Amino acid sequence: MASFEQAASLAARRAVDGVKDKFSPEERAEAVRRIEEEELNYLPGPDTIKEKLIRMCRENKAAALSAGILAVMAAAIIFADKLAVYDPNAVNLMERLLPPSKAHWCGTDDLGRDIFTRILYGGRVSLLVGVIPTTISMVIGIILGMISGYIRQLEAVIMRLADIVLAFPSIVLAMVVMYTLGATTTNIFIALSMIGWAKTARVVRSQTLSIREQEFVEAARGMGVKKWTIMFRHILPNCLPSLIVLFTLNIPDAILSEANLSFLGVGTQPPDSSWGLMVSQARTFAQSSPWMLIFPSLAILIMVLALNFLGDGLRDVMDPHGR
Amino acid sequence: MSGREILLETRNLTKEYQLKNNFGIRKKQAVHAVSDVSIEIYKGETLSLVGESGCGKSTLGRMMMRLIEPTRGEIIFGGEDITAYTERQMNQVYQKIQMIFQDPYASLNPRMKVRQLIAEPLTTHKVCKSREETDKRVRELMAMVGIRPELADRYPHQFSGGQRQRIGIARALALNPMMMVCDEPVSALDVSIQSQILNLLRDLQAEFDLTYLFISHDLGVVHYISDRICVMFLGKVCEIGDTEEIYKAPLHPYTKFLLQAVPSMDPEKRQKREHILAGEIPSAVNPPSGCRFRTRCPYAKDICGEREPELRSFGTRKAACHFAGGEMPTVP
Amino acid sequence: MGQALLQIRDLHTTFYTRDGLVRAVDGVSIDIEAGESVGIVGESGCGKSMTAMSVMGLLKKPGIVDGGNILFDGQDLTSMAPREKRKLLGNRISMIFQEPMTSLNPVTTAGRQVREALLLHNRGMSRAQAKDRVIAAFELVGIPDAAKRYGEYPHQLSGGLRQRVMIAMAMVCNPGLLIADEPTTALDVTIEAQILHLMRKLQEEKGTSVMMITHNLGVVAQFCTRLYVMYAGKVMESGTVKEIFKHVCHPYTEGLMRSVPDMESKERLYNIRGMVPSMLHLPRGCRFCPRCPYSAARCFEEEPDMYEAAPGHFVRCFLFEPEKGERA
Repeated sequence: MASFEQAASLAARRAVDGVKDKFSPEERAEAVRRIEEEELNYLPGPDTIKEKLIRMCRENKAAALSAGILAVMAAAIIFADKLAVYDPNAVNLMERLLPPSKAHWCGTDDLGRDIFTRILYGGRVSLLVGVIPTTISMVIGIILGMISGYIRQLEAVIMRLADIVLAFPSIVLAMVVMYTLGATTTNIFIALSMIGWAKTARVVRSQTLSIREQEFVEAARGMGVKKWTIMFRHILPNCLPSLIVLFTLNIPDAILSEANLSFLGVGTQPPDSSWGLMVSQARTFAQSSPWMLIFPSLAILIMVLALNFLGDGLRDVMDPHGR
Repeated sequence: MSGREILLETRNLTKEYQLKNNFGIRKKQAVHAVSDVSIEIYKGETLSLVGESGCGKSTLGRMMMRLIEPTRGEIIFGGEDITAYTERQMNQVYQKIQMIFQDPYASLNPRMKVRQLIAEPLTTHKVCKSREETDKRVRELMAMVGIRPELADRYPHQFSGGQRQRIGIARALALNPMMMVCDEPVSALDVSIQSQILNLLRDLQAEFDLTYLFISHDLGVVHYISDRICVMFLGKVCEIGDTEEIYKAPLHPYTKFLLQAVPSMDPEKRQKREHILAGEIPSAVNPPSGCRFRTRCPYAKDICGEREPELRSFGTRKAACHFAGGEMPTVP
Repeated sequence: MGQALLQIRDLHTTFYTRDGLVRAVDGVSIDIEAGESVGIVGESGCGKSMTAMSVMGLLKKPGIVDGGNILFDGQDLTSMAPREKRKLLGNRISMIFQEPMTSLNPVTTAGRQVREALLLHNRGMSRAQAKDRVIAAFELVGIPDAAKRYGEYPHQLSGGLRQRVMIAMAMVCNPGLLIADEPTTALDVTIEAQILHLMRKLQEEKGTSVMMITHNLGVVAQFCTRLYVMYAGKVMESGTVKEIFKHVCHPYTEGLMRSVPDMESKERLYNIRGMVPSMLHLPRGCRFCPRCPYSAARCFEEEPDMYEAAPGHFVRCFLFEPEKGERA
């Protein structure tokens, strides 16, 4: 391309003899280095998780507020015995079905027990039921989901198993477990874990199927990285955003399942309470004494909403792109 | 040519994807991605696989690394048949062949820092004894490909496309491989960055005596980087041989049209109508009988549909066309 | 010089992002005469697509046109009522996109989509009439079996055919100006040659002006008569293709041309050093100075204007600033 050579010299020739304040190559290199230095300092450096959390609180007000609400709720539930004025299980038939008042902030139930106190104590069961089985079922679901998504030979077995669990009405399955094992809180955890994993496994499998086709997984295979390392180092971290969302969605599910079990008499045993149990017991009085229904429902609602907002915020934090 | 050592060789390598119907039952049809490809790659050379989308060049490159399992055929690397190697045996091979990918965005795990990305092959094969040694090697590699080692703690998305491709190259170099499969390494990059990466690849080849299998559709890039080229069409080799010879006088009509289709940088030389290949690329499910190119070939005669042309030798070159070497039939 | 069909005057398009202002288009002026094909060349992020999007009114959220005028046929698009503008876009000005797969709706047939585009701007036309016109347009853009293809869905068409459908859709209203944003980048070389040939044929037959946005200098050399080279939001060099390819002036254009591997020599490729600056943080002075092999002290301080290096050939570089009294 002779024309280019000629053209190149046009600008070069002018540069050599045309411009007044000529620059030596050293001077130019110095000026360029200065600009590059500026650029480097300007570019945002890597953020630590802590910095990201702080930024989330500043930019995502809903998530920050939710985190605050959850903290207050957790504290109230943990220190229930210090906060509560009444005994949660003390029956007082003189004060049954009282509407909310100064003495009873949330009114009393059909046996005259203070609803506020019962919400505090019931929260213990609900919170545990929300978090523990969800965590267990998600761990199982993640592992099985990843295996079935990545190792083709095992896919059919695991997915058919998940189909069976999903095809059964989950409450029936949980009841069977509860009847066989006996109605204790620990068994609630086991029962709920056994039905919860299938959904997670489905989600993780579909994520795995799409992530495994990405070039960075192929690159890892081409480096000789082992299957299990690929799954845990490359695939799992990239599933995280949807897993966080799933986690916040599974918690209310577990709380409500526990309520159903309790309603059927195989869950939390009276006189102990949980939010779900309180709601289901209040159904008979929904018209005459709506506070019995409203306040425990409100507790569930607030917790679920707060978890969802926080989940959204956390997902952004976990995303490396959202600097 | 015959005196040179062959590093990698394929024999009748074939990949067919069986089609399934909605019930997962196999149909009779299959996608013929790569059919009966036998090529040799010599030590220290750059062989380019050229062709349009769907010609099977990427599939072939991945099969050579066993990232895709071949349906039939053999892969011989360094004198050993690796076609049936187990995962553990392949690990030895992976230390010697590495791959660079097309998409510098998708080929780096977005949740790993540059340091971890480049260190991964080192830790996988336990090459370095200590953490410090790994770290030193990572910095060395970063400097080698032109990225400031201070940036080791950043995530890939904080880099531009060209820098990301450099990170990918550093990762591929980490184990001192003998051979690199470069799958369209510059086609996602801007012109000015593309030339930087091409020069980097050339310099690395000279420094470490690397062998490249370079997969690309860009004929300008291929001309610049390769010693020999292999033109593919619909899973078949059309022509293979020395780059200069093929560019000067292509034997296969497809090669000829491919070269003429590249828009010239000279505004005075406008493409002429008769230089443009008509028609679309046929489906790989039911490739045309005989010569697969015949439906687009303006020179096609009856024989092209009846008999499949073999890859015949013409000096140092090989071409698969009934009329190669002689007069092309006149266009009706 | 008569009045150009499209006159872009000192266009500013700014994105108000969380991290600061991104001046994607920073004072760009472009003229396109009737019947002319003009290339806009540059690397990704140089603002070439954003210029087109500003003309089409397709800017995405934090971006707005906040300065300058876009005159089409003497009417100012920047101050026009949305109703009026809609009548113009897709009718008198139309656009082809890079990705022929994603720019067609996958759940409607190809023919239907083109027909809708036609009916939108021709209220009086009957559906049967419109269908005939669409099939005629399909034949014009070289789609074999046009009547059969009319009823096919985008996924049944190959990439080349989809791009032909897009061209048919863009051309069916006989627009005065066609904006083509990297129309051949996603296509194979032999198909690219077909599409370019088709576009040139249509342009010559119908006298449509074309604004060809591309990063491929070969496409420009083959297709365009005039050329604008953009870098980091500004036009760096403009002139006729013949002039620029023969006497390239701006160091950036020069570097770009010498970075393209050609098919004749294997000489070591020229490299423009460094990389495109972040649009959030442009260097002071000339935007190209840190990468320029000829930059001088002044380039790091002041921004150059466009200077006329040869008649009709403008360059944004101090090297081509006329000496005082040289031409006065």
